[in-house]
Amino acid sequence: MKFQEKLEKLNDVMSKVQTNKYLQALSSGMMLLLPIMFIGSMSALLRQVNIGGYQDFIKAVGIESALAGVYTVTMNFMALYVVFLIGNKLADSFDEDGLIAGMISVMAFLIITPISQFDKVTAIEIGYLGSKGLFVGMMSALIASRIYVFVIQKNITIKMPNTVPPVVSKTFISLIPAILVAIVFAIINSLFGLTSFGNAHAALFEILQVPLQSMGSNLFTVVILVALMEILWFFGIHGSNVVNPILLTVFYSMDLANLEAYQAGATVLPYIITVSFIQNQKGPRNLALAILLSFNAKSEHLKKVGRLGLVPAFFGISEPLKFGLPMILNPILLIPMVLTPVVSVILSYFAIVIGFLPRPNGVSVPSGTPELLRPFFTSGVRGVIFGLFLLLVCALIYYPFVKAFDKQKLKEEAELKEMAN
Amino acid sequence: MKIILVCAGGMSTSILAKNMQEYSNKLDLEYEISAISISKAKLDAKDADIVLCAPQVKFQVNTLKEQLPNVQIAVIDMIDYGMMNGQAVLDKTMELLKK
Repeated sequence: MKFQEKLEKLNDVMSKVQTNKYLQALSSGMMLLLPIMFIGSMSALLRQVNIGGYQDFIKAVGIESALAGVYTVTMNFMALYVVFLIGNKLADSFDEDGLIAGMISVMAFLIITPISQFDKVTAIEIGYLGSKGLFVGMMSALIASRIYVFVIQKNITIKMPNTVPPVVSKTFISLIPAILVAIVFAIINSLFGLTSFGNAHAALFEILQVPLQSMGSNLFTVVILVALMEILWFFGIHGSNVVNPILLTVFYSMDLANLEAYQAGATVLPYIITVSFIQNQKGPRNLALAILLSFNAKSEHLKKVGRLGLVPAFFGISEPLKFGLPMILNPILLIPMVLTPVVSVILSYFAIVIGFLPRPNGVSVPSGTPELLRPFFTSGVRGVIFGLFLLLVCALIYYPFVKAFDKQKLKEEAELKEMAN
Repeated sequence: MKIILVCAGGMSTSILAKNMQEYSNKLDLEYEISAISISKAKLDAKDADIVLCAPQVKFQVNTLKEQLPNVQIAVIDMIDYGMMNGQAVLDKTMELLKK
């Protein structure tokens, strides 16, 4: 009973983290980006693939420059899309008009983004709208959208006489919050202009993003995060769902930086640890487990769950295994459950260090992509070979524990049969 | 009758929803069963008769109740969920809908 209470408490804490409006806005906003990220990733891939005369062909026909254009307006403008979506989602969660909040957020973000004047051209440095501006974008969206919601909910609006049609007066409601946001961000912008950084982007990049990333980009942090996700699953909580907002906030700009370098044709990409590294290098552990259960277990129950979970596991869906075996609150399987992704990321890290695997190219692979196809997109053919190797490693780690669990289940099943007789 | 299943991404629930739909068709019941991501529930599950929450997102059930005050909400049994047992889940759901 006492354990049950503790479990409920853990559920409460997780629910607080997961339902925190700001974290939720960050992660759901980023999630909506999928079509843009996918188009950007694919155009980078299609532009960089080098098989036979393919490169000559796409250059001659003009496909190459078309792909470069698509890449620029998707990945290099990433922060702009993110700002709109996050601003929108945050206001939505407060039950206020998300569209207007999104629009105001974009304005706020652009106010603190430096604009330079060259001879005949007025320019925004595109870098600030891409990976470098991502962090500033997230922060300004949250702040601008929150100001908007605050002002509206405090009812500080222009009151129209009753005779004005509601549709008209509604458009005026957003006027005061928008002006306030503009003033606040204009002040922020001129304050940062006084510092040696010159603008908010350069300042936040130096002060926050760089230290946060160097803290996050060591292997130790990754091991902790990966283990945490599995431990949460042990308690029946969707681990990656809870940890993802943190992952995206800290690591996603590194994916973007890698993708930018990759599509520019760089041979060595800047980062090893990225969101896609963490998501794709955890190893095909559930597939390994499902294969072991289907072909190696003797207990009826384990065999059945294994076969049921085999195809879903191939597509990265582990719920049939997690709840069917169950792995939830199952002490025998806890150790391999935590160990397999931890060992997989460590092995992957060193495979990259010694140069067997390339650094992840930042391409975002949609969830639901078959296990052994994922590494093909992020690391090419060697990624697939390494994926097979990880499959073997995961199976070896699981093997003794599945054996022990199988033995226990067999005994239970035999006892049940005896009782039935 | 409209039954909506929710989980983190609407992926694993879609397997169960398919099994439930097959069982419901076999019994000639007029159920419309679908799966969505829990983040979309607030808008897309408004007109559901019942929302079934997958066990791995059980910790979000209170938020779900706040977002959908007029919809009946239940958590799917862990073992049924793991076995993707459409029959058992639909039987239990029909019991709940009778109440």
